[in-house]
Amino acid sequence: MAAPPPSDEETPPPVLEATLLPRLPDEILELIFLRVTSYAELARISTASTSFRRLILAPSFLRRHRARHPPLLLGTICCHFHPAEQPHPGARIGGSLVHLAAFSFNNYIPRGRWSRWDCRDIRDGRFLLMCDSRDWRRFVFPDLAVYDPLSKRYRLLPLVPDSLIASAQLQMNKIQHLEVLLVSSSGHTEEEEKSFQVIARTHGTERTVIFVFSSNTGHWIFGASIAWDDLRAAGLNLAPATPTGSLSLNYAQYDDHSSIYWKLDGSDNVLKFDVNEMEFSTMNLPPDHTRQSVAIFKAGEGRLAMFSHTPYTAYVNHYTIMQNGGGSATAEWQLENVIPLPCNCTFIGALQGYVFLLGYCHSKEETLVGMALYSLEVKTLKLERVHGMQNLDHGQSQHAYGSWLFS
Amino acid sequence: MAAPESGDGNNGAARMVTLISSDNTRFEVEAAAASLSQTLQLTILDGGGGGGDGIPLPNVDSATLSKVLEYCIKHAPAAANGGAPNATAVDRAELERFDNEFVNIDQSVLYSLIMAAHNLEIEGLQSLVAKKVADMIKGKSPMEIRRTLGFPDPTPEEQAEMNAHMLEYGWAYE
Repeated sequence: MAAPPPSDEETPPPVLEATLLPRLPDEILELIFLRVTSYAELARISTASTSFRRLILAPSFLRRHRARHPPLLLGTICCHFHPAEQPHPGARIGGSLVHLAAFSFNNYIPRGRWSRWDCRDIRDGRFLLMCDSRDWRRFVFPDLAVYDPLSKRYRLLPLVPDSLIASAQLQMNKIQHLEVLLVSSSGHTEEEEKSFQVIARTHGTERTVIFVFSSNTGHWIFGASIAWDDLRAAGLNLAPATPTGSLSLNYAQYDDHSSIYWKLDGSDNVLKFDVNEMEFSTMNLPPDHTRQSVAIFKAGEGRLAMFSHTPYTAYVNHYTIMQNGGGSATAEWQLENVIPLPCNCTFIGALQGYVFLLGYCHSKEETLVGMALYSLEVKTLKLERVHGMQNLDHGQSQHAYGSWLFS
Repeated sequence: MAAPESGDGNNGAARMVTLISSDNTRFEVEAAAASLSQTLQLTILDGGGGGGDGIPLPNVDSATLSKVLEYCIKHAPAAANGGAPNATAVDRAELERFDNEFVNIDQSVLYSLIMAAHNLEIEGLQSLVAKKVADMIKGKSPMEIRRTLGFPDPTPEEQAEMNAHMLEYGWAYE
């Protein structure tokens, strides 16, 4: 890494001009720094003076800056950190983070009960890690940890207590797998900002049950439970159950700290979990959505935005809908845009303000010549290539890593 | 605006108020324009600033105040429309052109202006000048940024501390 240019000796300063200028007070400097859009620029300013650094690193300033500017996408994590590649705007910073931050989390946190930690989710620059038994025959609750690669700080989560599992009338032998998601607090104070919730959803032959861990209380509580039969009884047109009796849910999409959505495979519905109310509900999709993958975001002005994609096609449909309390049937999804993709893609995830697509590049003879990860920015609908993908990476879960930095 | 007595008797015309700069120059301006300042708005709503009284502004000199008022007069009609939902694209383009030209001024004037906008709580003007200064420090070295923001060169101790942080943020200098 090139050291910054030492600038004090060489250039003779325009002393006269400098001394004539008034020294701007902190509240004015804050107004100016809030309008700096580039993170590299903000970092340079923070190294120019100890008082600038103090101002910029103050949690109150960072909160205000974050409210104005989206996180910068820096790369992805599967088993290692893969930085964004040029000309992606996060490439420079992402590239240098390979050396700066401790992404190889298995070196930094103590071993769990089984072999190694895997990354299961990333939110606000923090990783949700899981260490599980990988025993397909018998479900055991895994070890969980939340880890910040920039500070190398981690927090090991307690196990979900047996009494809580029992009170949810959940039989361990009917759990097939566990999905875990990290939800950041949307709080306005420093304390609230550092707090998080972990959503653990057990997926079983009869029902799905959610447990919620809160960093503030340090405890797990029961979130909600819904039986597949109840969904059918509610008149949802669901696909036949899998041989084991469970339903298939597409991966979860969530963006706004308050709701999580799962596409119900083979149906025109999504299952929604409201994190604040701790309850499930369902929402209709436009017709002919049985095969699509969807990602749902808050779009401002009381609207939701949805990106809907048929796997292995080269376009994404962008819909919006007016959000209303009870999910009544009156509001209809409106098709806003059809976004062309550079090649056939599949949805692989979403992160604060972005949808991620895995693109398959074919030659004229239709042989696969390469793969790449693309990001679609929700606000601007801008599509960018993040980085190329090795065949090796294919099939492993990819988690996009973005950050406001200085967090 | 139906004030009980309308300034110095311009019956039928817009209500006027008088502002007095730190060097005792008096500026007569429409109440609607001066009310872009949150600080002045309350005084004006209370009927202040009319007649021979005038509102003293001990922190703003006449050169700066005349520039501040130039901004307020230009922006008052749009502000009266509540952000101007019915403003035409032409109006908006004209305001944008005015803004760009308005901040194309000497740095020292710019700084007096942002201090005044801050004291008088004129949000649009604060935002406009802050954006301009943010653009001015774009791409500059840390030392240039200091000088641009009116900070004296660092002591050796501060320099050493800064150097350490620069290494930490090496990516920002590539």
